[in-house]
Amino acid sequence: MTRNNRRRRAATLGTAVLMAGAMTALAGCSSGGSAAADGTLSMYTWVSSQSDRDQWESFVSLAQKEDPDLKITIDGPNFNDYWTKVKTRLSGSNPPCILTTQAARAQELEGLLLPLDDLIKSNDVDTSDYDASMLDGMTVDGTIRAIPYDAEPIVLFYNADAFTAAGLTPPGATYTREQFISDAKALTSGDKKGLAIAPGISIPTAWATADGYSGVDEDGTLDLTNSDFVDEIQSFFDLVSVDQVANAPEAADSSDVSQAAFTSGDAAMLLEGPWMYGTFDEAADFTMGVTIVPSTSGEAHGMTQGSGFGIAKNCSDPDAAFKAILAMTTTPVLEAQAQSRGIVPSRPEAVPAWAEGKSPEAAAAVDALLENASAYITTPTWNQVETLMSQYGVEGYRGEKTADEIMDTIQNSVGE
Amino acid sequence: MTSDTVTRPRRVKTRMRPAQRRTAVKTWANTAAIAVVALVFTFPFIWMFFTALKPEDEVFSSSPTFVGSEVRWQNFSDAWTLVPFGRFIFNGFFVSILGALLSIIVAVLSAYAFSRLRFKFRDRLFLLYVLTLVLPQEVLVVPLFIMMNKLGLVDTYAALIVPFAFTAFGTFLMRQFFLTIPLEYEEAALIDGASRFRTLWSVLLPQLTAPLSVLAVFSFIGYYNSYLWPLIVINSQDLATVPLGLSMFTGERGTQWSLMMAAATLAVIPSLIIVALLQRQLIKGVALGGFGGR
Amino acid sequence: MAISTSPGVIASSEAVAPAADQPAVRIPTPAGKKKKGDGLTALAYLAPGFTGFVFFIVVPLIGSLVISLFEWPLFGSPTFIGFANYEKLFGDPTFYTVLLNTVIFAFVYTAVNLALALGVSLWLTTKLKFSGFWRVIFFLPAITPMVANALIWRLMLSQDGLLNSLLGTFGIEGASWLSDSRFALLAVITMSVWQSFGYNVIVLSAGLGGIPKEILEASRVDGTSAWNRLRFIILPMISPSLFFTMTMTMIGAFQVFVQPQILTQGGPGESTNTFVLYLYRNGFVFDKLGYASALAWILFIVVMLITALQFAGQKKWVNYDK
Repeated sequence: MTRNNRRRRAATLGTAVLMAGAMTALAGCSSGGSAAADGTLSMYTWVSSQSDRDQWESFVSLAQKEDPDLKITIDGPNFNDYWTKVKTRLSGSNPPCILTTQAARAQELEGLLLPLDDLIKSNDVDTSDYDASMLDGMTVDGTIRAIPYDAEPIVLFYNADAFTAAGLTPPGATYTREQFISDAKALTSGDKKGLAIAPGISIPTAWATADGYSGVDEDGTLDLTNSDFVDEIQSFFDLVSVDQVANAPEAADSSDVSQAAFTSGDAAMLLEGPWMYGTFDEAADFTMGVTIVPSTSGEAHGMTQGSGFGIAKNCSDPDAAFKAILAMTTTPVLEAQAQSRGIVPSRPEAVPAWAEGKSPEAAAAVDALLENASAYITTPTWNQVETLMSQYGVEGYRGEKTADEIMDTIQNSVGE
Repeated sequence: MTSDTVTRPRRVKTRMRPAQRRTAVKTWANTAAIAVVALVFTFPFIWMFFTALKPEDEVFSSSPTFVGSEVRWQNFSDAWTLVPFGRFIFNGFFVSILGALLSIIVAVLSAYAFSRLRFKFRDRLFLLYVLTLVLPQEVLVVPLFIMMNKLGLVDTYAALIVPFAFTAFGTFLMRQFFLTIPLEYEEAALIDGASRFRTLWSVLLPQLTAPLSVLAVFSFIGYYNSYLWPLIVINSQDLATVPLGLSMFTGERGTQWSLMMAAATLAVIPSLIIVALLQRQLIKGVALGGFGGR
Repeated sequence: MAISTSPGVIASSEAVAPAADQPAVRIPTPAGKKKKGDGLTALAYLAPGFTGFVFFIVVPLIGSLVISLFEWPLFGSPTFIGFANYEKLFGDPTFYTVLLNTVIFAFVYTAVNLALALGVSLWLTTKLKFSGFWRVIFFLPAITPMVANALIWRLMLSQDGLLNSLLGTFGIEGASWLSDSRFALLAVITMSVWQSFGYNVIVLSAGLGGIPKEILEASRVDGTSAWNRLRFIILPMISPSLFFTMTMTMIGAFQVFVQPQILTQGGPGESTNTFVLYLYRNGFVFDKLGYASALAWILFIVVMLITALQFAGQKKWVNYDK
């Protein structure tokens, strides 16, 4: 073999080794710190749409009015993916410091969120400034994991014009199940339905909460099969299968199928969060009303859903992150957000800002619900519960399975 | 009918013309029949396109029509701007082209070794490669994801491209073709003092442009349409490929079916162009390899 | 177990690439005069591919087995739990449902797919104008992104979708195809067959194209009926192609994921939940990577078993000599 050939062969070998090396090199630049040197913090949150991005950016820009040096970058996947992606994001390179969470998901993100009690103490934060049910929702294992920015009780939106047209009196700040069902029946004719329903478990849970029942027991363990909760879910299924005042949702529907049914006038009522008020008001060409979630007694018992800012456990500078969070949840910031984006603020003193420009009945309903509110409490396995409810709920609404069977199946599948 | 002409050869001439005409009519009738079937078959695409042009509130209708009360081309521009669709298509092409290139390089080099070189355990090693042909990729996604995560490659182009460029299929396909080429050419070149790499490059590969293009097209399509892996390994919209982008779109715009169909149409168009341009390679690829379906 | 299938795989390798006339047994090398092997050169050529092969196929395959012995969250450290994931799996009713769904899907889908593909490819051999064009048409959905394809089907099959309004014009009240457990799996299968039988049309067309014209002509002269011609001449002659398409379609069928994910989310109940969808959800939605890996290994074993059975069965009906 000539020298030339040998050299070429060596060169080929070299190229091959180089290629293999390049791959490992690609892999090499992995480890990274948490906070950038210039004090820029990164926040990982759901960014489903431009509207979401605008919301997060306005939190930051409003906070900058108080702390001009504050710099926060925003990144994240859409809402549905966020709950799993956040875990991989934290275990990957260059993890973010600030996370957002719904109170409902705080349990699920327990392993990721730093307990804030020490920071709350050292920064002299008065927790009574915040909605108690929301703080309760953000508490996992006895420690607060996030500072809430909103506290939004699920409400019943209704089409006031449809009520009037059907000769009904629109509901006030009390609403019994009996009345609700009779109204819904009167509003149902042909393609028009009294109510629109989305798949998933949060709305059925709000329905149960209105009567004071929950699928999670006091210790925070999953308890979907307790008979009170099962009865509530069954009565919710019955709205479709027995009373036939709503269409059964399809498993693959997202919540905006039901939202569109409401705003287009195809369904006269919808259970949703008050954060949708602005969107609905704009989309609907009828007079929209807001009332409480119907309960057996007719009295309000709200289920608050809301979100807040937390700190990642592996954040290298929790103090800076906490200061940033405080800056984003001051009363002026929340008032501004309530006015511009329609969130119901987590600070009671900022709630009046939400009521501005909305009907007094809506404000009264929200006040009544907040006065007697429980947080939407969940378990670490809630993602699975939610998925299973989307799959199985369809059969419940269609009357093919009872709530008892479905809750039993879900409880067993989740296996707690 | 054919037997007529065979058994009575003398009368062929006189009977030929009506028979021919009859055959022609039959052929056209047959063609018309398959055209109808093909039309029904492609109907979902047609419906997709027409739905994309409708106003949102006319998507569901008890008496459906192709064209709504107005033709809304702006649905396409709306879909394009609501999510960064141009970005998705760029990502799709970027990942698919690099992925196809890497797959080809790997396949050609390995196939050369397996078909032209002698070394220990060659046949056993090749058998191992062949065995993995029937391995469902889904079995590997969990460990691959953990590896990518540990390497800090989650949410990078590298994670989309690299892990699936080493499947045994390319090596297998190229080796089959290497084996069909007689050794004489290369021996001549080697005796003339050309290196092995040079022989591979300028003697072997020019004879293999057809299988190479087949491999390229199929790797491209495989990457372009891949969904499960990007769903797992990509977190940010900026890196989403077309199917992932489309599914993000559905997550956010669940009811805006006309916009969603506009987005779906946009997602389908590059594939249609590929079919139009490369149908020969595609047909050949499927006929020879038949693997693209996986 | 994997090793026992090896002769079969090699047998199929000839079916895979009928163009390769040279059998894959002895491979002459150009440097035949040399006594020594080409170890070092081979190393150079193999290095990129082999490194990747080990790194991205062999290691993950073994890794999958290791991970399945852990409770492995997406964030945080894994805990070794022995075979607990497997124990849980065999006590998990959803696992059996999902396995059954996938097996039903795989068999029905493969059977319908092959029957249709065979029918259409036979049709394409009859006297037709533009037969190449039609073949491409049937192939279209197979190369367009499945997510897009599934979306349009979801629209057409939804409660007030096109299909039901068409049925409505004939006075028939359509079912909730995607929400009714009697129809949902059928809907998923229908969409999947539409999506991909075009592949097999092409593979089988190539097989049919390989049958010498004279043989068919001769059989026509004999006055053999069309059915007998199909049964005794055509099918045996394309049996390698049929076997190949059957095997690959079946393997592909076990990987079904996008269709239920987009069409039904696995619902109603678990009636369209499939193995890979369940695997994906356990790993990446429910945060149980260990459990997902246990599922992956079961999937691996099931697919290998079914493939091995197919190879074992092929001797009875596949005819390799032409």
